[in-house]
Amino acid sequence: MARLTVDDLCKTFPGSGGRPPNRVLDNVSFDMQGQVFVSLVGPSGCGKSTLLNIVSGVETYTSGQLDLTNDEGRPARLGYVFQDPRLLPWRTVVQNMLYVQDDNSSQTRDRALRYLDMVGLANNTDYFPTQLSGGMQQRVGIARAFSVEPDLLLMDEPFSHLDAITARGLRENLQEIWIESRKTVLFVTHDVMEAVQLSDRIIMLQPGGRIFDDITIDLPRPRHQSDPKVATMQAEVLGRLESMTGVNDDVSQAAPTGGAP
Amino acid sequence: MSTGVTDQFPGGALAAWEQGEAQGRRALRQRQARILMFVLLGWLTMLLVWQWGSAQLPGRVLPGPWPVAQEMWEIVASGRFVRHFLTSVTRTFMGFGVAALVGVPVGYAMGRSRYWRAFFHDGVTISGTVPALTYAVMSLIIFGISTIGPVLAVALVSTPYVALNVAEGVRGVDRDLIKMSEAFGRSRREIRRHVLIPTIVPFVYAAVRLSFAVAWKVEALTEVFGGRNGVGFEIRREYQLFNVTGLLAWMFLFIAFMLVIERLLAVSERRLLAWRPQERAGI
Amino acid sequence: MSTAVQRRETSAPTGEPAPPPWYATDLAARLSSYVFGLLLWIVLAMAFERVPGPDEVVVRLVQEFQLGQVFGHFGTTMFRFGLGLLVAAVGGIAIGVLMGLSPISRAFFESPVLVGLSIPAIIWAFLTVMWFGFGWKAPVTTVALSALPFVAVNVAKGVLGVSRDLRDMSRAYGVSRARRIRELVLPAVTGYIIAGVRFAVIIGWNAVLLSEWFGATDGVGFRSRYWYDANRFGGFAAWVVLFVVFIVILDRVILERASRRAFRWRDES
Repeated sequence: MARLTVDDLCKTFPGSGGRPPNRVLDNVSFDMQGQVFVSLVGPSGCGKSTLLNIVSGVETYTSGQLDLTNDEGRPARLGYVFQDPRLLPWRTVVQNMLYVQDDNSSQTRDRALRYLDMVGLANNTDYFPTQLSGGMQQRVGIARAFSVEPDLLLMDEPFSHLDAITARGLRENLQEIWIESRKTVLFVTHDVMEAVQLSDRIIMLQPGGRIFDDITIDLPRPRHQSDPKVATMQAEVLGRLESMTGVNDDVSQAAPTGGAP
Repeated sequence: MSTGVTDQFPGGALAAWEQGEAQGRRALRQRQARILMFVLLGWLTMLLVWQWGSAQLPGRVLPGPWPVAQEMWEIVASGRFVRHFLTSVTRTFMGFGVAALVGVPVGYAMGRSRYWRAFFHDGVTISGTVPALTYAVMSLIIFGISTIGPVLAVALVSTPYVALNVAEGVRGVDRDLIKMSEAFGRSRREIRRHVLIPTIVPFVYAAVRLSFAVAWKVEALTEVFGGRNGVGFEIRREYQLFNVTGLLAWMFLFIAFMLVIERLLAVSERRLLAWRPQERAGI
Repeated sequence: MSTAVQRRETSAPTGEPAPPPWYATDLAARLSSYVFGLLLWIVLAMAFERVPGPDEVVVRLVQEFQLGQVFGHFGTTMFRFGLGLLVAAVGGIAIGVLMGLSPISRAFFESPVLVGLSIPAIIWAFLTVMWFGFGWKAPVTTVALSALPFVAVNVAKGVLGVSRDLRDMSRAYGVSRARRIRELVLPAVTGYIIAGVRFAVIIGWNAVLLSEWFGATDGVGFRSRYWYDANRFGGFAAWVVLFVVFIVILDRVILERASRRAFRWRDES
């Protein structure tokens, strides 16, 4: 488990070839720790993915502070699920799982196989990624992220490239695994329904990269879309998102998959 | 998007933003400057290695950069540069003309019919593997020492490029556009004129640009083997006189000329084909 | 969409109706192209008296084998070609990897490689003959210098092409450098290395022939020139057949297979 503190974080991309610089994060501050599932919600282009890349260390930030440690105060081990599966096409499923591990011991291997089993791919371990469907590839990505026993798990719209039915299956699957493992998760999505179903807390970003709202979701798990309490919560969060429309027209893009209530 | 949001920034945050942006710009400029420095360093190293080599080797075996530069200047000033390069470049483009005349119909057939694709496939791929020496000497055997030899050699090496590119172009023609045209009852001739040809022309152009370097080298090679004028002939003459300075001077002129023409072809291609989004993105 | 349009659609070449009759199969088309090529050759031989016909070339070919000229010269040339290629491959891969890894080294090597790409093999052939005289050094150097830049640009392209997404993924997971090179960079680059070597083989083969033509007393290039100088174009054409068949087999059969193997993961389904 990890503790993540973000303080007044700013990020500007320099504009190349005469284009003006692009500001994507504006004084973002929040704090999370322990067994929580936090979602970052906002329209496309509001800097959610950039924030995730900064947390993972792939991207630098312009100003502010970011502190990420595990329970022992050491740098946190990360797991990352991307929008696309990002598997090595020339390695089999199990080889892809082992690629991100620190060692090749039999325990590591067993752990990898266990997570593959949890996502329902126990029989596909020796396939090449190109031989799997998009949904199955994304399952490998999820299994890979859990299998490194991360202190913090980052997920960047992991279901947005999948069809609705596959996405729903994977969402249920993710919820089960999370209930079992209780990792610290930072989850990026533009889908409010998904955020309410999965998370303990929702941080809303608005275009220009400022935090607009911070909502706690206090509902028992496992949650189902059909549950009236979940539906009520979804409506409430959507309502708050609607109120953001006054800020910028771009929010129209944020219309979540279910459409406005 | 950013302008709308700017107004709502509290003053302090805005200042921080602008500072960040300035930093970003500076970093970008510094990076570009550093890259340029290393490009120059690459050239400098080449010259130094050459200078060092010429000091190591005895006598006239490898003259240094300076005598070669002087020789280059002399070749240009005496007008020999313009004369011989004009001859060679004319032959190269005549060769391209022949290649287009033969390659476009062949490529069109390859793109439209499976039979012709199979028919020409081996010939077109094999001819890309055949050593350039073969084309040069064969052209000489057929036509003897004449203007036609180099033209034939250029045509022989570049026709497969044109054919393959046109075939790709024809196959890539948007099927939906053709279906749309048919749905609106356009005749075959109209479809050819408005859909097929505009799609194919860029591919012919690309073929010429891609094969220019190869063609230009083969043209010179043919002149080396048997020519009375042209760049290749001059290179051969310097070799027979054992004049390394002259040889190197012609070589650098040869390279410079080739790079300039390639650049011109690339630029004009972008101009002509500005409607193609990927070309614009390349600038 | 109206039915009339749909009918036209099925008659389009993309449709997959009944298999073609025997004379229109791919194999028939290819065979007929060879027959056509042979006929073209015969016509050319009749039209130009200096062009030798197939019959004459076959006679010369048999004669060269009987004289025991073929294997000796081929062996000599193969040694020079192989050694030169080895140098080009090792140097080209090293420079290519450097160019692919950092924008700084790319900037540094960019111009030398560009100049190297532009220098025709004939120039290297002339220069090396003037530097080293007749012997094995001139052809080997010519092959190495002509082919090296082609390997370098291809390898650089491969290293640059290693997906940024996969590199970011590896970084996020903290995968070790050694492992990244072994499992991410090398497999991604192998195909490009083979492509670069294929280029190098074609360029190098031409280079070794040119170098031997102008500066050697043995080898395939020398023997070809021997017949050319003697005005016996039949003998020259016989050697053209030999060295073209050699390079076509090497490129289309051996290297093409290797390239397909390297990309096995791509289309296995």
